[in-house]
Amino acid sequence: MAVASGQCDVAVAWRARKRAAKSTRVWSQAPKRLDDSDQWTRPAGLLRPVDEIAMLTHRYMHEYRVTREQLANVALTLRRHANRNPRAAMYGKTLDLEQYLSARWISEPLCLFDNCLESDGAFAVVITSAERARDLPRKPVYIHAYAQGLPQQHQIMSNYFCEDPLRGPSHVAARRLWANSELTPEDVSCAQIYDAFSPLIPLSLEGYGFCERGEGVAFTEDGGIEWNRGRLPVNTSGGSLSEAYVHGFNHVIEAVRQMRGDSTCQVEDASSCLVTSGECVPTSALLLRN
Amino acid sequence: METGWILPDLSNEATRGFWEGCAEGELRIQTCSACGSMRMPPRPMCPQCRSISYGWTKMSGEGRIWSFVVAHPPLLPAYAELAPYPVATIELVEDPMIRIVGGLVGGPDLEPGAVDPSTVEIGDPVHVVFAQVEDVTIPRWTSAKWARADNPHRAPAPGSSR
Repeated sequence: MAVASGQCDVAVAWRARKRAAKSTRVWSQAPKRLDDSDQWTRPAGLLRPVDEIAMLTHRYMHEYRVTREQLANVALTLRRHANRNPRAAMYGKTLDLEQYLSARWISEPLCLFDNCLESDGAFAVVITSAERARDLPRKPVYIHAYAQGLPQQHQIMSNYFCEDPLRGPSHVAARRLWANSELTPEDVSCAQIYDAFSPLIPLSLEGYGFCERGEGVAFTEDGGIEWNRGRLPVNTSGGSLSEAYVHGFNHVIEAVRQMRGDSTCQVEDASSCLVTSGECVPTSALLLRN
Repeated sequence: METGWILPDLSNEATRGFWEGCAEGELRIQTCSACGSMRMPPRPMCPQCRSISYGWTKMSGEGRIWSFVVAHPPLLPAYAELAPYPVATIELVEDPMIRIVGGLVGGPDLEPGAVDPSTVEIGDPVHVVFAQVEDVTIPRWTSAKWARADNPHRAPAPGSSR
């Protein structure tokens, strides 16, 4: 926006996280008395983001008759992508269904491998005008469309109180994103979807219109989100579950790689890539092309 | 006494009617004085008609489990002692769009952690009970099927693996 509106010629967007120090962890600053929306969940023992997403996931699995074996597709597919990416934290570590099903619980129905990694890391992108980018040594990647979205009366993370809790913010962002683009979900070559927890991927696939409601997990079956197999390769670097968790900024970087032809899971003739931020929070999406 | 539990601030104008109700043993839901619609969580303005005048309506305390999780460590110390424990979102019988998150217990004044998570199912009927934690009264949910005569406080049943 700053570049497009002429406020600057070049912008740098970046994200860094350092979570290794105990004193900087969220829990070290856990407040004793709550005056915000957390007062409706924390006193009941729903403490962590994983608990909040597990509540929605269990309802989703109940309504749409989804099994853990099906949900496992997300974590297993992303791990296979990471196994091809030397930059990924889980590059050398394979994961199979048996390991997934026998992993320790964190918040049922979510197990260890449904959670993102905890990483220190930093990423940045340089944004300038298309005209200026043409003369630069690296192949430019274009911002084709973007959108932000938030449903009415949405409650961040613990969105159980509205009429339709499984219809999250991505549905709202998607409406605007596709309205701003002549591309449709059918045209998109691959997607980098915010995956702090594995169920956010099927929920987002539904929200952005790659499938109907309730079909997001089915979409991941038979290699549906896998590189070189599926209709829509998702999180081709391994994503937050298996590359690194840097609040999704690595998804932007991977999308740029896909558009430049540099990914370790390069989608053949990739011409556009969707990048999303989190489902279950005020969200946004970006459509890149080359 | 400090328990290590994370508790609400009781001084908030818009929400304290809920917590005051709990302290008096009643589940009260914020209700718009203009259009009559109920809302949860409490907030200053009615999302239906935008009126800022409201009152509180006493509920029967009966509901059904809309969804639940079973929390396992790592957890904050006070909660880790009880783990693994179930936490449910309850939809009220008066209006299934009114939902409340609460722990599941075997009876009044029992701590969460006593309910065997494998006995919990979405759709289970439950009713509210109230528990005192420091100076706050919080709602929890129980069902006759979790009442265990041998378990006034969380001791495992004989032969139980938990």
